[in-house]
Amino acid sequence: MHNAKNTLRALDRLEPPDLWDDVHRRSPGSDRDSLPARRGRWLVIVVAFALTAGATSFAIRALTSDTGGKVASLNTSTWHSRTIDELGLAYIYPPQWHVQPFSERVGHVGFAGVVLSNGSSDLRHPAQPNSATSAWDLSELAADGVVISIEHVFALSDGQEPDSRFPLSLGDAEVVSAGKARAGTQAFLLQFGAHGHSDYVRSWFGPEASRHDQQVARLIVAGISLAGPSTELPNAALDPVAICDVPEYDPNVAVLGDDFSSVFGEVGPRTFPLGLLEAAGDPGSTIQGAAADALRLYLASPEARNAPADGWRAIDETADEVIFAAPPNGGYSDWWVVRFEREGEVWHPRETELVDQSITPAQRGHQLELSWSGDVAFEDGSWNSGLILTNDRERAWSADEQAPAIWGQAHVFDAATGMEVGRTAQTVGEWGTGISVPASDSVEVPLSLGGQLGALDPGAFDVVACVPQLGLASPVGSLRVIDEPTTTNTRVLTYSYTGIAMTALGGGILVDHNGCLAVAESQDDPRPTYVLWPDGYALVTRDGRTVLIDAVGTEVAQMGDEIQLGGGYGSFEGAIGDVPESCRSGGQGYFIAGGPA
Amino acid sequence: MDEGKGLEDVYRAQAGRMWRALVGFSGDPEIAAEAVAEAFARAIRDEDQIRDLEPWLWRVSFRLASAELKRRSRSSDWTIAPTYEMPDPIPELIAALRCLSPNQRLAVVLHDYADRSTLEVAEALGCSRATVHVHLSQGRRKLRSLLEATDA
Repeated sequence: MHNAKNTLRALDRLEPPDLWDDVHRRSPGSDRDSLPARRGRWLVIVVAFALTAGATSFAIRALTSDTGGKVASLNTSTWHSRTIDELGLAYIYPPQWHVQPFSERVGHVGFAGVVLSNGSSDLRHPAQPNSATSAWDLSELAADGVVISIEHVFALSDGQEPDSRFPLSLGDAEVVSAGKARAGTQAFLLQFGAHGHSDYVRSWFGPEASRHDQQVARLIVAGISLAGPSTELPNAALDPVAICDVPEYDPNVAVLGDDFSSVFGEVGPRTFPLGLLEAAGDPGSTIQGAAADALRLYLASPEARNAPADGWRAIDETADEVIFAAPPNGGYSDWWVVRFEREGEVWHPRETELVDQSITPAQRGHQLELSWSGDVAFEDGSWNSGLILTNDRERAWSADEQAPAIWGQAHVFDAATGMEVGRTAQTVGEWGTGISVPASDSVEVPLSLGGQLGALDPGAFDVVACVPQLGLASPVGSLRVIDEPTTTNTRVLTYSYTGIAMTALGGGILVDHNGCLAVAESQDDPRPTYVLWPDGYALVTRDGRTVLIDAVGTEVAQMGDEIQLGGGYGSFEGAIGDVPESCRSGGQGYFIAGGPA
Repeated sequence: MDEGKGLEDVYRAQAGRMWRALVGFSGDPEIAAEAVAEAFARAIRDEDQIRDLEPWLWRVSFRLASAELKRRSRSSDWTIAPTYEMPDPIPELIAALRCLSPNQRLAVVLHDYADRSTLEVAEALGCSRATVHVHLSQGRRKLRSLLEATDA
């Protein structure tokens, strides 16, 4: 049994550096919670580490000098051929040489490839107390040792690298430091592109390496080739913060407007400093600054007859644009906003809008935390959520009415390749459907998995859940798909549902019509109506039945059931690019469903 | 306080333990060293405004380290944490600590290693002492199970 206090005493074995001189030398930063930027320095560490890690993930112990009896032929037709599946590369080597494929992680770095050497046999991990060290031990490289490492470092962001022209040549490599290898060792680095990513050949020639073995090394490098399509590269470390685009928490800002606001120059809400909004503001008659006269003219116009006379302040200002805001009379909205643009020397009012003020997602989700209670398992058309929302606040937390129903939007990744599988449903739940979590307590929230079901096969996956309304990301969890998610060929047409839908009623019997899900007046209706469902709706097989589920797995209806839908008719023919030709509605249009009525 | 002498006394008494605790929290001796040095440098600059120096230093150094970890996790250029040679069983301890949430990790390291009070931990986390107890409980349980799994 581990006691935390006793266990942590192990840290006492670390020898701390003496930083007192550094304390006196440095200029302390001003940002309360940030270390002063030392970006260049970090980058140097990153690159140095990554290249070294990729090069010599294993210490090479047994490259002893007994290579005399193992002279490799220079006739490559006698050599063996292998592939590095993870990199989509093929290579050749003489049978006398040692081959050490590797696929490892150190810290957040993943790297894979193969080490080829003229050593006797063993390659091993460094003689360190553990494998978590990134220290490389080339000190035992034999004087006549020759080592070639073909490798990829998965943590390096290498973008799209054009494929190199093959064959490669060791003559194109640059000379690099041999690190801790014995004096006189030569080291070379050759970067090349394959299947769109950057790979490396690193080589070390001991000070007494024979010309023959050096030539073998050159032939090995020249023998590297593309081995058909690359399997997708493993993802070194899924980063939930990046996957979910988690926003920074800033208590000193507020959001004005919503997804449909246009007064800020572009459609959507905008964040403003709270101090600016909490200031008293000025009467429109006396406010000063750019476009102030234009504001007065505007306020005197019939268009602004209901506009507030007082409380005006510029909330955004550029050389060509000024946005003013004031709290309107009567409390029917939070802010009366008017935007001016300059043409020459004249300011013109461009847009006026009444907008509400709200908190940011990060503020809404501050001191909340997502975690997993266990694996997510998909079986028989259903899945458990396992996504836990914990309230770390001192008081109870409730979803406010400005947020739709809280659920986790799943991002699913192939556990082997790290590549995302399927597509996260772009839809939200019902607005104002809040949940409440007592202080220091947790609740399970639904997990939206409907968008991925068509792409999932039985197997193991990594999953990250995002709750954008709260600016939260879960840790990486596990998803096990136990049986085939869907066994029907009926296509469910979907659209991105923002929580707002038309309010007409529609519906009928749920049928397959020409391969797409539709509603019909009767089983023999010759012209059923195709339905556009909120993204994430899917057909699954449950208990042997084919049922329509929503994004979080709630059963909506069974095929053949009569269903009533809220929504409205629309002809989106031109806007829908992914509708099979057989399911084009022609002039009839689609029923755009907000959900079951 | 005599700037040089008083602070240096605190440094000699606390910095080593602070650095070790920060290594446990961040898993990175470099971040730990930066956070300690920066916290003490700020203490020299702002000494007149600091009422209780020792808790202030702990709080500031952990906030700096925490912010740096967040910054690196969001920065595309920082996907790699340098690792260093460390004696057993520290690497596996750090690996286990990394599996805790940041709040749990901070609470466990500050309270159970550095012997800071739950009030100080609460101030560092910006939460209540009750919440600290939750983090401690969850963090200890998770750490124990992780290390027992490693032992097995």
